[in-house]
Amino acid sequence: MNPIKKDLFDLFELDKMPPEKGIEMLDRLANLVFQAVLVRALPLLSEEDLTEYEKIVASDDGGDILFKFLSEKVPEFNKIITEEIGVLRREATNAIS
Amino acid sequence: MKKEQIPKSDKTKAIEESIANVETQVDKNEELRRGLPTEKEEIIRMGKKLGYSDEEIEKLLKGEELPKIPENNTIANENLAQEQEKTGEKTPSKKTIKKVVKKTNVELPKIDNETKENKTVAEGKKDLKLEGKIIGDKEVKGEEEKALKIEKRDLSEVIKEFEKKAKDNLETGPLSERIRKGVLDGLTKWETFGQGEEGWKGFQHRMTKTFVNMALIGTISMLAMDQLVKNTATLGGGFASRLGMRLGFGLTIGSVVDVGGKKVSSEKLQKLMPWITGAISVAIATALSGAAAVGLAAGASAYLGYQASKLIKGKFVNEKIATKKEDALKKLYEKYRIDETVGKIDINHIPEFEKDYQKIIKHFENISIGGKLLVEVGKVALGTGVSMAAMGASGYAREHIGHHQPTVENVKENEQHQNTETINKEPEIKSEPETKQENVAPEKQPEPQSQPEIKTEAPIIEHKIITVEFSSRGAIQTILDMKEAIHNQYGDISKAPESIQEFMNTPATEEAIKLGLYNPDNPNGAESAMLLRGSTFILGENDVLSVHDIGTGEDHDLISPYKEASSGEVLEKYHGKMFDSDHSEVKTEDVTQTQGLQDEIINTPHYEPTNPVIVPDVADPNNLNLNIRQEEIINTPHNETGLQGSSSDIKHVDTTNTPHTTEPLSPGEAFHQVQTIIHSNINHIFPTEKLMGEWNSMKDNVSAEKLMEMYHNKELNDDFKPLAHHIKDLERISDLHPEAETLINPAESITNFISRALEKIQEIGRLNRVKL
Repeated sequence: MNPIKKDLFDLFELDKMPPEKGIEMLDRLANLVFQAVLVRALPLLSEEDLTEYEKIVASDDGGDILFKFLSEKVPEFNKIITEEIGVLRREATNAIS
Repeated sequence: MKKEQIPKSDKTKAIEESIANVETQVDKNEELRRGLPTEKEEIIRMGKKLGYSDEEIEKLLKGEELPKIPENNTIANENLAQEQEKTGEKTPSKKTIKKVVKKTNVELPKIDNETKENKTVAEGKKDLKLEGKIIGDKEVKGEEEKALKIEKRDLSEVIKEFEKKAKDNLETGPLSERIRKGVLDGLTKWETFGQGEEGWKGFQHRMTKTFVNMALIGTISMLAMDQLVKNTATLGGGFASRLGMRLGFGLTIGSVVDVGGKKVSSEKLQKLMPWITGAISVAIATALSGAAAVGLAAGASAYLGYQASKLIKGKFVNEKIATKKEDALKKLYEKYRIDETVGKIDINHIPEFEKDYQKIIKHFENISIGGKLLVEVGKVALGTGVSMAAMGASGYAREHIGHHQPTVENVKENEQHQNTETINKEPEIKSEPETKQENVAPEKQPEPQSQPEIKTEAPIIEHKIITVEFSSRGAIQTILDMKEAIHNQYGDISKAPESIQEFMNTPATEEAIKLGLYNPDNPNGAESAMLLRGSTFILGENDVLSVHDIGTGEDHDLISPYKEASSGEVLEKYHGKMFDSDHSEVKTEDVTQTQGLQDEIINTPHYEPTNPVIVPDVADPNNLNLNIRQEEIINTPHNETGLQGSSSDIKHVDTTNTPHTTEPLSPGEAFHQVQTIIHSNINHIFPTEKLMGEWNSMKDNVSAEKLMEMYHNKELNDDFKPLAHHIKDLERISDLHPEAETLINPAESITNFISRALEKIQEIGRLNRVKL
């Protein structure tokens, strides 16, 4: 496969790993993307929404609520994710292939 | 001289058994093996962990006697003993072995690609040298870099580097303290999501996290993520105990990733599905104590569900489910001591038997989802099926349960469900002449198990779907084109089914007459079938030869190797519009336009047609209202059309006399009108409960764009083709098209597109054109 077209799943060959290991690697890769997304997304929140965000992270609610909240409040949230995936993919391609 | 067997120690036997268990498990889960360690890898891994030497592992792989756990690996031995003591197992299970391996914490040897990753720069260079990429001692710069990267390619190390970099960026980047804290807290919340949670909730959270993470690395689309999360959340309890739920879940995964997430290529899917099933297994195994087996089963079910999702592509034959169903029925027969051929059944057990039989049929009907597996379910209504099974199994019972006696009407009705759509659309056919009923002696009623299995017993023939567009030169030319295509496809025509051979050996003109596409004797002079440009002649799945009339959106099976006793018999002649291609003023003729002919149609299962296809070159197909419903035709005294001139410039007068404009409606009325048509059309497209179930299971999971793509790629199951035809009509009339996925919005769902298009069509006053 053309390395340019490979996504992070392919680049890190998650499918070749035992599921436990693959899931661990997946979590770590996703965290990298998520961190980059948060760095870009949180400053876009209004004061009110940021306060709401802080309440959510401090609550006992599940982590999935975070995504629901951010996708509703952050303009072009999906686009930010897509761009950050692209950034990590390019860096990973350079490092691996 | 016989070699003396060395007595095996208990531990050796135990390990041997464990390995055997692993092997069996691996064999049982063939599909699951993809993406998981191979059998060889598993043995090597375990062997190395326990401290066997390479030679000993070689022996292990060859199936030779397993050496004892090396005594020098005291830790492994102690751990194994401890675990066995704890569990009380004489033979350590795979789980125990794994625990010991984990506890022993021996550094795993790298295998295959991992070994490659661990190569030193020198080794990497050596490889490249061997490959001729480094000549002599002079190294090519690019290749040198590549060689250097081989060492660098320790994936964990790469991630570690990225993590460190990300951490540094966060600490030193130009962020306010509040944002920095927000990022860290958010990350922590996400990292800990699902961790340490037990039971189903834990499973649900971990699976949600896994799917969201897959979306976060771009493996599945956000749309797919939403769907997966939604369905994971609805699982609740009972996941492990209810195959239907598991399958449903798997189906969701399959359909969403496969269809909804259009970014996922089939190549990727091959990698992804086993991986997802593995992930599910892990999540479930963690959720339930001692549930590794359950996890594997769930993974298998998810895979099965994924496969089931392929049903809409018309490619999936799930023999496993069919076999299981057969087994379940056999057990049922055994339970009631029914011999399948001459058995007896206690009359007192009939009600129970019926109940159990229904359970099995319903259960497997649910599993089949896409619906090609349990032919008898579709072919024979449930009640009839039950009684037929009972009667087929017991002559004694047959005499006593008259109310279950299958009637000819029952059988005919059920056959109609499986036969052509057109026949289904004719309610009158149910009142088939009673003379036929007289011909069927009660003793000769179809055997319950054999009658419905006409299709399943048919020889398995590789699907060769050939589509030929109707030629503007007529049906004869179209048939010649089809013959050529079949010849190209099959090569040796003797290998084709009998029905196809017969088609190939019949002269084209004769074939056109036989199929009703040409009727030189038509007294009205309308000798040629009139089909819109784009209508196709299809040699479809199972070598059924059919016509797709783009005007009406209907498919007509003309020849099938299965549906009739005599292979190749014409099932249904073309019965659509005919016109006189030789005259300047052309009349379209529909065989249904007179009451006399109508009666003839009603009283015969074969449409008494008329007629070679001339395909008029219609500049604006919208001008041809071919979506006339049968009852409308009956009530229309004349269906003459104002076809003028040659076939290339035929114009058509709307036979329904329905105005193309409607009185302005209030928004509420317009909405109601559109909704009524949606409801009515969907009921028309999916006429049976089973089909409706399939529709409900896929309507929000498959985008309209994807459906049409599958249709154009000829991947769509026959059951869904009428839906695709309907969408094509909607596109044509509304001039709207399904919206593709964007970064922000998911691809438009089928239901959404249908509503949107119908609203537009309502606005332009053409709803009558799309009412099915």
